[in-house]
Amino acid sequence: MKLPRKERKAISINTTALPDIIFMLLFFFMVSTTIQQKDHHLVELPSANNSEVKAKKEYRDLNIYVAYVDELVYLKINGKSHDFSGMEALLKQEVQTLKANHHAVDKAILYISGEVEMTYVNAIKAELQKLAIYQLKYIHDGLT
Amino acid sequence: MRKRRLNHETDTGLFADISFLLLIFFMIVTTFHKTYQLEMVLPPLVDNPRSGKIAKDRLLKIFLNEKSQLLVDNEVFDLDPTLDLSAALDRITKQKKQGMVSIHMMPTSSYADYIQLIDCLKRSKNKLKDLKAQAIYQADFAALETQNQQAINQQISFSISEKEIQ
Repeated sequence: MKLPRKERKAISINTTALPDIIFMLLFFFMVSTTIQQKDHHLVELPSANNSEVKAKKEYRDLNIYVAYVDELVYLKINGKSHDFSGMEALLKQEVQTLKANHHAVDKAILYISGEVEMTYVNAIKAELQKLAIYQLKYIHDGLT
Repeated sequence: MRKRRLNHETDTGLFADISFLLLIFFMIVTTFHKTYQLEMVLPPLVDNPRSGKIAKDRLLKIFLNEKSQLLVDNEVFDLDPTLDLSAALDRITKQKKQGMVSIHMMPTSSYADYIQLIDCLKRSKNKLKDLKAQAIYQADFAALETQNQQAINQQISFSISEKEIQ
């Protein structure tokens, strides 16, 4: 006897709410978005004095992080970390590496934990002066 | 009689609604961690630094200890965000030559206190600019024309020197 074939049920996901969600997101971004307006500035370029094109140097910043780790001061310069005793060598090495890659370094961005004593900060500043990096940016969380 | 199978399907229709409502809620209420920045320019190193005395009326000495306290003109202040040094800055910038703020700090003074002191000096300088702008032009400093702003900036000019007490 031939059995009647069972009818297969179509599996479907209920997508009724999907347009609601899409429109909610759309309205949210429509309301909250501000379109960036760019000002145009006329720039008068200087004329070239000679035909030699000098290699353009790209500027790179030194990102210096200083914080206490287990009562010892550690620092991290552009991703490389060391305890504070290796500060001078690490700074010199990083600046040399950047210069070897045809980058110029003119700015140090300091991310220092609030409890770090000033003697460490002053040592870093003195070393930066020796390396002719004079522009500093202190990044902090705000004032208490 | 054959037992009818129950449909075990869970209704997930509302699942997306709830998750997106949560998403929107967190998108609106979230505030990103803000950081602030202070810019400073170090002086270049000189082999034979010039030494000389600075007139007292052009010099403001500030001592910063490790207990978040300042000694300014023989007066002790607690470092707090409301501290105003505009009167002291006015005194040292009244002269024809540039004024000097000399910060003496302990090696154990904290970086947070140092930042607060530098911020206090910048805030006091801005307040002094507004006071001068009101006195001369009867307007806030920000509302002045560039030429007038430059004139006031020249009047309130000082450099900061830092020294660690050994």
